[in-house]
Order: sequence, then structure tokens, then C-alpha cells
Amino acid sequence: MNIKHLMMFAGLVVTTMSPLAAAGSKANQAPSHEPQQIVSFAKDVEKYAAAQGARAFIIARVGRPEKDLPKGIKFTHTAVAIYSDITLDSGEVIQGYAIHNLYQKDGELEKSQLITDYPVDFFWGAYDLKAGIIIPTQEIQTRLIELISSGKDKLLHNERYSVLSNPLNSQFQNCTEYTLDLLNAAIYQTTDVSKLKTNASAYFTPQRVHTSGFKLMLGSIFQDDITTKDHKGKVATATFTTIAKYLNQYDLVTSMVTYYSDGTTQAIDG
Amino acid sequence: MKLINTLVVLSLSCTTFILHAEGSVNHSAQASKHSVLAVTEGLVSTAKVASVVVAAPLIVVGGTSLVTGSAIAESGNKIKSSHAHDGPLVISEKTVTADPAPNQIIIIQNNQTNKTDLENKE
Repeated sequence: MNIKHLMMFAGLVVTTMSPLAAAGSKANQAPSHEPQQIVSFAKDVEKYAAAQGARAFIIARVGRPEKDLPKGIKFTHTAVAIYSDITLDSGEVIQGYAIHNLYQKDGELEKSQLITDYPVDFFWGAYDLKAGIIIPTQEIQTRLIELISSGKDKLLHNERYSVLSNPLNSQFQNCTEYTLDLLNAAIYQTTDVSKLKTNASAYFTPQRVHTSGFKLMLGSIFQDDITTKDHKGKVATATFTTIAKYLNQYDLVTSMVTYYSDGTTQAIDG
Repeated sequence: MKLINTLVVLSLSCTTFILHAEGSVNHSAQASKHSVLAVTEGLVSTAKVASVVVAAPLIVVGGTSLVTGSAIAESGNKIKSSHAHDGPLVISEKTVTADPAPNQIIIIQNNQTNKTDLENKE
């Protein structure tokens, strides 16, 4: 390959990746759906969870077309929703779900922050109006609520972000790994990260990411929020579905479904 | 030419994986979203949040009580609802949204101040 070919290749790669880099930080991207649809869907999700009696549940959205997602990955963002008293500026107190998220920092995608938002915020940029919902057993819900209301959830946050973070060690963290860490902190009643990772290694099976080493290499070169430094051998990461399987395997789930905008649900295979 | 074709295929195939990077994007901070929601009020009520606390029931698990308001500790492994939120969980018809990001709220506030100043001068 001569210099000319190399330059053409570099140009092609940069051209291809530029819009993709933006895909990871879509702070100003227009929503894929009409605002009223999003507002209505977000409220329906809340009502569905409330009807199940869920005071705490795992919630997920899909931000990209399914065909663009690696095999086995159904959702792109996961967090914990807690039934809350929400005091408005007017002083009125209403009830609904507050969602406790780990989000990438705007303009610093290799770092993250913890942000509480609400269902309409959560689904604002969703590609498909469907929600992943895992309702843990009451005991786990109680412990999650306790963890978050005590502020100890902050102790589990690792600011170093990677889209493909390895959930079995603490080098990097993404939104789903943070959710897994919250769950394991609730299960094992500890915020000792080394203990949590030891237990995750023993009992949690992450999703193998079926992507070539070449693509991973390019991703890590061109995007700050992609690295595989924390993986040895095959790359595997936490997903909404693997969390569902994990909780289901150990009898810690009341229900786990995909909720669609027409009000129907589909059980998630455990 | 064959080489170029190969490179194009390789480059395009990168998209499949990298698009996955949508991941943890914060939509609560979008200034545009707040503007849109502000004019969507015909259907729903949107409201800004002053504070949020867990509307936890009075729960007792394994002797550890989760306290919201007055607590009554009970031993055993029961989960018990509070008086405040007993029965079905109620969801308000109001739609709440997080405020814009700190840098965006400063811009919005400054714009509002400038607009008010202009109106006062006129």
C-alpha cells in the first residue's frame, strides 16, 4: 500500500467515523418521534411499572436501529427507576419515577457523571419507542431504594467511561455496568468494589461482543469512549439482557419484559 | 481498484459496531427538548422539578428499616408499605423534566435577562 492509498484509506475512515463520533454524544440531536408520542409513551411506561407495584426497577431504552447493534445487544442504555415524591417548582408534590443514570459527559465522552432524570428525558432520543423493564423481587427493590436514598450509590461510580467496559473489573464503567454494580451492592449489601467484582466474576455472564479486532482497534483509535484495555482475550460487556438473565438465574426477578408503545409486552427470555 | 473497494467495505463495516456507541447519552440536558416540551403543553402539563426524594414505603427487611418520615421498625423479613403510599402506586398525569445542563441554563438565563432589558428599554 503506497502513501496515496494510505491517505485515501485514512480519509475514508475519518469520513465514515465522523458522524459516528457524533452518534455517541447526541446532546442536540432531534428526537426520532413526535414530542407528544414520547411524552405519552414515557407516561405509559410509568403507569405500567406502577400497575406492577414496582417501586424500583431496571429500565432500558434503545437508541439505534436494531440492525446496527452488535448481535445479542437489544438496548443501548440502562438505568434504575425509583418511585419518588417529586416536588415541583410550584411546591406541588407529585408521584412518579425518577431515573438514576450514569451518562457520558458532554464533550468528554471518556468520562461519565451520575444524573437523575425522568421518563420523558430518558426516552427523548430513543430510536424505538420500546422500554426494557426488569422488576426485581421486592427484597431487591427495597435494597436498591435503600442504597440510592442513602447516597451510597455514588460510591460505586467510576468516572472512567468505556462503551465496552468489562463488568468483571473496575478499570472502566458504562451505564449498564453501573446498574449491575448497584444491583450487586444491593444483593451483597456492600459498596466494596473489589468484592462486587469478585462476585460478578463468579456469577455474572457478560455479553460477548461479536466484532472484529480490526473494528475494535479502529474504534479505540478514533473514539475516546471506546477501549478494550480492560479486557483480556474476548471482549464481553454487561447488557440489559444479561442483567435480566443474571437476576432470573438467581430467582431475583418478579418480571422482565419489553414494553412497546402499543401497550403490549413481550417476556424477555431468561 | 480492488484495493479501494476493499477499503471502502472495511470503512463502512466500521459503522455497524461504532453506532452502538449511542450508549449513555444524556437527553435531559437538551435545551431544544425543553423548548419543544414548552409548546407541547396543549396535551400534557410539563413541570420543572424543584426536588425529588424516594417515595419509599416504610420497609423493613431483615431487621433493617428504610426510613422515610416516621419509622416503625419491625423485625423479620417482611416488606411493609407506609401509610403515605399504601395501595396502588399513583402516577401523576404531569410530565416532569430535568433542567437543562448548567452551561445551557446560563445561556437561557442570560437570553431571558437580555430580552427583559430590551423590553424595559422599549
